[in-house]
Amino acid sequence: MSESPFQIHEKDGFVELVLNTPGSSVNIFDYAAAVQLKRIMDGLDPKEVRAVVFRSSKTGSFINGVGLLLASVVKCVDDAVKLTSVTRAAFDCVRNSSIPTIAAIEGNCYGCGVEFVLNCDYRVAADTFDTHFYMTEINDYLFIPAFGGTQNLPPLLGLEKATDFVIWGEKWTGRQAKKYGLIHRVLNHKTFDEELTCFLRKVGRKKSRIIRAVPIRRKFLEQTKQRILSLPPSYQKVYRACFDLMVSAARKSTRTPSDYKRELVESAKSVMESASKSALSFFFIRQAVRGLCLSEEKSLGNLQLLFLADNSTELNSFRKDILGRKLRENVTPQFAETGIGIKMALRFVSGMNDSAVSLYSPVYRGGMNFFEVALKEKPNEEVKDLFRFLSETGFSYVFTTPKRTFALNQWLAAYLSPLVAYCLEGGDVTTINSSLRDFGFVRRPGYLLRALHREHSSLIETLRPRLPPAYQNVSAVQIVRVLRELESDDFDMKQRDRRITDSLCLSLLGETERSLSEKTFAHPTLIDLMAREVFDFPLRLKSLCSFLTQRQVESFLKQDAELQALIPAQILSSAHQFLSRGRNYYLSA
Amino acid sequence: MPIDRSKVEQKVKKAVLGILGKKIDVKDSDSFVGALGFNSLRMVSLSLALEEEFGRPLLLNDWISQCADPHALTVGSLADYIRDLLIQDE
Repeated sequence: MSESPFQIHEKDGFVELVLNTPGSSVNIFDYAAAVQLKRIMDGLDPKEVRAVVFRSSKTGSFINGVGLLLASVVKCVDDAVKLTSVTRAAFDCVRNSSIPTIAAIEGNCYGCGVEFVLNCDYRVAADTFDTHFYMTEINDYLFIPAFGGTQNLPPLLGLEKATDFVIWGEKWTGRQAKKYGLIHRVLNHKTFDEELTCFLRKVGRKKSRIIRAVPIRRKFLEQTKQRILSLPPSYQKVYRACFDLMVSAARKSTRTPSDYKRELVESAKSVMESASKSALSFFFIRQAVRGLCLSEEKSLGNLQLLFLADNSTELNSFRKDILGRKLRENVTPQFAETGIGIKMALRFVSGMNDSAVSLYSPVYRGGMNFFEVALKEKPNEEVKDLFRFLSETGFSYVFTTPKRTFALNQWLAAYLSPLVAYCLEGGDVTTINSSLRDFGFVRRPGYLLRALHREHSSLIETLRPRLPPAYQNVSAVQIVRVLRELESDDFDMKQRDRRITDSLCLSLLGETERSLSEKTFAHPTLIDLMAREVFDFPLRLKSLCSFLTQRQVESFLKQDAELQALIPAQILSSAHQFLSRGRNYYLSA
Repeated sequence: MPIDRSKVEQKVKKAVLGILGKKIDVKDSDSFVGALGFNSLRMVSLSLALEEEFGRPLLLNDWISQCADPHALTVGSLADYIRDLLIQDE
């Protein structure tokens, strides 16, 4: 018999339901949680219970999702109705309860976690670094929310902020969530319990529910439709359907069961699309990386971090960023030359030193929260604490054991070199952007280049040997000129050149081969996560290492004569080496 | 060399027991979602444990998406799936 997900505490007429998903470092609103919650809610007596308060006992996680097993097995609309019925019944119990319900949110609240708290009368959240709100569904998995998100968010936030949140994937802190109307109150984490008690007293036995029509600007509708058109064609259908659901919810002042049913039907249709099925597999990759980096069940203990920083302009914004994330008192970061704690070199510009641990992000200035954690040896428990700190502060990262230069520099060069060669050959950026968009890239190379540190000399040094022989002697000035051209986001609905995506994939394959053979990356999932986060490798293709199968690489090589103008011979020989091994990166069908 | 189904099954059961952290009699018919109480995160831990057993990175999403009902995700069906992959990989 497995343990119960909810623990029940009763005091002074208040019932506290504390979620603690067994055997997991984060909370999941799974089947067992849904069954137990419905049973508890059905058994409460409104005459005796003043309010029900939902809490989490896991540091850094309120509810991280409903468990994607459900979405993975949906084959038709009826499956979705059947598989979600228990969860929907539990949510309905909370929404329809005559007892006031309060979500006291400490820790991240993602996807179905957000949809769950929308059924509560009140939402309060801790002002901490590890409390964020984020709708994962369409942004990470290309499907439409199934538990009321599209229907309940527009009246609460207004259509425009709801669109930013659901469709464009904005991630909000507690303060932002309060500002935009998602929650009622932000509570100081040090006095959370006292402030919560005051809030409960104030609420008394009052229920609260806002359903109202909200104004819709015609210009906003047009702008959103245009933005959806700029997405890869295979993604547009799901984005349009999701936006349509939200627009129709914004227009109505009441909500009926048929509104939620319509959302569920659209969600089921979107989950059945092949792009979504592929995107769902990225969940496994992301979690596998988490499994490689973190010790399960361990939460962040006392942690002293000593950042030995260079004097780059990014340092001040990073310091402000870290300190502004409302760290708990058990985490003390210092920016100094000496001190106690996990010492790490913090680098925003290339240049490795002898530190046992280096944090490197050449794209931080552009707002990309991604770090390469370069290590001398495999991660020990101390470094795992650093990983947990990065995870809980909302940074994405992979660990590497590079030899000479940061692995990210090699990967940036592998990504950019075929595109630079295409421009040097006389090709235009519009065709590059259109070809990448059709292939499934949402972000253009320009996004990455604008985020990249302006000091290009080390990049050019790494990039030049990856150009075909005809361009290996071009001047640095010429390469910088091409990189500037590539900053443009312009695209065209018609122009394409398949050589661009084929040579790009082969270039990334070459770097994958090198990274795994030199053991710079310990596992293909780490490469997959980096390719997704930094280069936006298309979700519809599962992941870089899943996509690069023997069959796929063979098909690229059928036209290797045409590709020689964009990639050098050593990349092609890496591809032949991969084929001669006869094995994919993952054991797969 | 032919792939021995019973050896695959033994390795799958060993990985499952490692995740559960307790000694129980795991049967072929045991459902991950039902009898064993696995959620999607535990499935990921299982895929890493299976990699230890089989020496190759393995993601379970394809196996999960083949099933029409989460309760049909059993220990036996996983052993069959991995055996088939190993045969193809030979």
